[in-house]
Amino acid sequence: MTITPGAQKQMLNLLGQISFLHDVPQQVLQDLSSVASQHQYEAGTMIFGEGDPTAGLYVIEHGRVKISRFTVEGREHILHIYSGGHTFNDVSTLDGGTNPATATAFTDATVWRIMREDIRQVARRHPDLAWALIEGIAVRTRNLVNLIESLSMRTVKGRLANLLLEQAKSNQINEIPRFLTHEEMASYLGTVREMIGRALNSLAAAEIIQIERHQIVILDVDRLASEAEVK
Amino acid sequence: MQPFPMIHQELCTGCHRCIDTCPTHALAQIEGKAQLYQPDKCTYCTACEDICPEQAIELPFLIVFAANQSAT
Repeated sequence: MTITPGAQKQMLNLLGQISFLHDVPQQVLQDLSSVASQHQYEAGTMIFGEGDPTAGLYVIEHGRVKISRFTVEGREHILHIYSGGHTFNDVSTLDGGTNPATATAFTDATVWRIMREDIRQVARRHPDLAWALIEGIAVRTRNLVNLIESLSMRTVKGRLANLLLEQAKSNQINEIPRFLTHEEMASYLGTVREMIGRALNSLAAAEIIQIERHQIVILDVDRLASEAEVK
Repeated sequence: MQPFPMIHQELCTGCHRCIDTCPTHALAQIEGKAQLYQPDKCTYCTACEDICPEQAIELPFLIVFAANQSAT
């Protein structure tokens, strides 16, 4: 598919924002941008499904994309919610296997896709790209290790405390704050909504947080951090 | 922005449970589906979200630090 020079420039700027591509020469980014295609999804639309043949590497231009897996009963576990400037589906693009998770537009989203074979061709010509991809996967692996620790060594209340701290920090620095429902918190933490309600009430009873109309306000960061510690 | 409960009409089956459970009668059945009829009465208690069997209702929360707190 031919992309316009304007769109390619847009993609080039976007690639420059990706952390693991910061040290990659401009020519490499230009080659990558020339094989990318732009796609738009409405909020709630599935971008690709877990288990389907690899859909390629995606880069988010605008909006947020939810990465999740589902149990056989249909319960969703959110692995991550990525925003602009982030990539997703790196794993299946690199190992050629099926998509390891489902990607859904969390908000209206504009994304760019680069197919696996196209990335291979560019990486063959430019070894810098291969190393950059390795670094990107290493960062993802580290994040997954942290997630495993959280799921196996923290209680639901501890995981929730950790999530509340992370979200508050993120909302402090991001221009567009993110609202989360109880269901989304439960999906993120690998539990059910009722447990989230109980954990929030427990933290509120201890006056660590205050639940206001549409806000959860962290009253005591130190005590919340203590709840989040691995026990 | 002050959010209100979001009722996804495509998921709502009109079972009436949220309307029956709402303590302030902020919800009503309109054309067979639940809707936030009196938003001013909504106290954001999440009872409707908890009781909906179809997960059709969402109440989003913004997580923030209190004015005298910050990230460590």
